[in-house]
Amino acid sequence: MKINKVLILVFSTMLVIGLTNCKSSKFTGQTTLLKSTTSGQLAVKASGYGSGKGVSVRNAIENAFRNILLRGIPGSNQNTPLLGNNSEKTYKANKRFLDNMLENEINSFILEQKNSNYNFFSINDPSSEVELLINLAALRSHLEQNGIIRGFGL
Amino acid sequence: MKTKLLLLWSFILVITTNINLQAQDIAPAKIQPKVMVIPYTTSDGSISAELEKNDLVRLAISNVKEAFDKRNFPTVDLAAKLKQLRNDKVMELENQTSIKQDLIEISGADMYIETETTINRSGGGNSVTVILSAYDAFTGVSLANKSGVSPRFHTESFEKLVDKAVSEMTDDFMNTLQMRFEDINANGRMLAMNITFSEESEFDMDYEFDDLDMLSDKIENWLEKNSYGSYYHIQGVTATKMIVDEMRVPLKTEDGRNFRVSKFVQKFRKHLRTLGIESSRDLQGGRIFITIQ
Repeated sequence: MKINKVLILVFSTMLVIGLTNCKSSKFTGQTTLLKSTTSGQLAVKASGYGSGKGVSVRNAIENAFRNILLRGIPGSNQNTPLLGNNSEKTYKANKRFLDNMLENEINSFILEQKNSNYNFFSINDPSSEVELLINLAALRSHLEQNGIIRGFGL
Repeated sequence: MKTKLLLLWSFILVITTNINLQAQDIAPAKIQPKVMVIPYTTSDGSISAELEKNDLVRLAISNVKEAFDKRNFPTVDLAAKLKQLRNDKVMELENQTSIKQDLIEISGADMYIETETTINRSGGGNSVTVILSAYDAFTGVSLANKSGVSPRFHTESFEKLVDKAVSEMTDDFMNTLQMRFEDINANGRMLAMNITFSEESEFDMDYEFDDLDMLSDKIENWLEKNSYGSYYHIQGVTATKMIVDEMRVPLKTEDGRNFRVSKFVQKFRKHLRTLGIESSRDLQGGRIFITIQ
């Protein structure tokens, strides 16, 4: 009986830890230009998925950065991938660095952030929208300094 | 035994670190192209006059130069170059278009960016259009183009409108240029070559060798073998002239040194000599002039 209680307690604790740590890794192209900005900045609106506000907001921010790195934002001053012509190849070659950056460092490149209300309808619909003003020049410089992309020039 | 192994390990570590450091020291830095930002002029317009009278274009040029500076890429200063050349006979030439060409050649710029500003007036407010066009100075190949229009405001402060328009478009323009640089890194840089004959020359492009190849065929075969990735384009051949308007050469040699155009020319002239042909050459950056004697 006692063992059962312990097991239930352990299971519940693990479930709580699992739920609080879970993060959505859904990558979509739902990142659009919010408004024109001056050189070196980028204002975007990104959608995020997840079963909680924190998770979906985090997913939206990651999606925004992934789209900037891999796809570019149409109509913006970064309408080509920041990782260059072979963005997918560059990402794979530097996966460890970039995954770490997306997980731990992207907040330092966000100048402004505005989160919408959390509305969860289904797992196939975005539940949060996040407006971001990104320090594009600093992001580019960070990638250049770490040898992920080439500096300007030959 | 353990101490010996530790010492051996430390020795190897020191040696390999030194080798790496030496390799880093030896690797030559890539020679970056020189860029000059100039105002757009019509065929009968003067660059210096445009620069002096048009405040907006001066501002736009300054903003573009600033964008290059932000990317740690210095540019050739046009105003300084013009001042340097002011007493030069080039500035006395009647033909303004040739002044532009001469200015580009004398400045040693590998690339130039033409900047154009236009004021748009309307009842709904005023705006400014800015057009930026980057060209390879030697081949004339267009490298990047971008146009931008400022928002409309009821203002006569066109400087602010230019500032806004340029600021919003430079990132995209620089990204396009960077893509061109990536292309050059992968596929080689561009050169142009003009081959002509001196008046006393006994040869011409139609000169036929024993194997029935004409001189133009021999030259083309050489270009095919020696241009990077066999990439070359012949604009035209006549009996007295061959114009190669674009051919690619690598940025680095096989041993990692910067590729020298002069060596490329030397190799070409040596090839001509094997055919019994003497030649002279002139070099202007990436433009090669060969005169067959």
